[in-house]
Amino acid sequence: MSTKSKYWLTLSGLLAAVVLTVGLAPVPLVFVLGGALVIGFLAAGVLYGQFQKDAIRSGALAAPFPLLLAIVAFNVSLLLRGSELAFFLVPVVAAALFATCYVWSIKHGPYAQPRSTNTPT
Amino acid sequence: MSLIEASPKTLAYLKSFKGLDVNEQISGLAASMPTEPLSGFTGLVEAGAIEFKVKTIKNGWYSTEMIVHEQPLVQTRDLGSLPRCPSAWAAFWAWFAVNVTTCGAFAPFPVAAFACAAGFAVGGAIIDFNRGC
Repeated sequence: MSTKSKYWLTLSGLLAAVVLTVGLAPVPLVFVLGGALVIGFLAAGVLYGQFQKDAIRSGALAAPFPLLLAIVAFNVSLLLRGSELAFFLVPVVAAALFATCYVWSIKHGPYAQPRSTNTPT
Repeated sequence: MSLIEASPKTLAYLKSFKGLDVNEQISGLAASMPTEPLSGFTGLVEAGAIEFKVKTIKNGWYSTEMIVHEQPLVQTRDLGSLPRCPSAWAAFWAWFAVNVTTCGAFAPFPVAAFACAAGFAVGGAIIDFNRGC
């Protein structure tokens, strides 16, 4: 599996985890897990060497489709939060977001080749 | 009084006080509480949720045992965080719009944009959109 695939697999997994956390986790835990996931996204960017100013400024890394999809999925899980249907629908939304983002990334996922040698291979 | 007379089990309870005038019993019970609680009371007695056993100890003295039977939980549709009135939906859509515009500004860098969206999602868990309902 290429580094790009691993990167987008990581991001897709984190996005699905956010959906599960927001939709199912009780109040104190949702903040702990949510905070960890926010840090997780940034950590993924660092680990895969994506913090590259030139690439970011040029817009080469832009991914509006999965971003909009993620925002919609997060808000759907917010609406489902606390309802009887949450235990059934939230995992479905999470799985759908994971699959859609990962499949999209295969052809369209932006990825900047890391300049640092410390990236995972 | 018509509520009490329409409930055979409530009437049976009142009649079990041997030696007392049942019409006075009915009047007394009807006067003891407003219509809505009385309606609930007769409903519970009729449904068997509350059962009374009256024993005559001696002339004019009675022993009353009230038994409350376990009832199956009434299953209500719990809507959770789902907005339940127009103002709640307006608050939700406002939140969604702020979410999209703020995190959309980070679109050139997906990692930061996703982190922003996750932060908004977690923050949305604090907000009670139905507060204004």
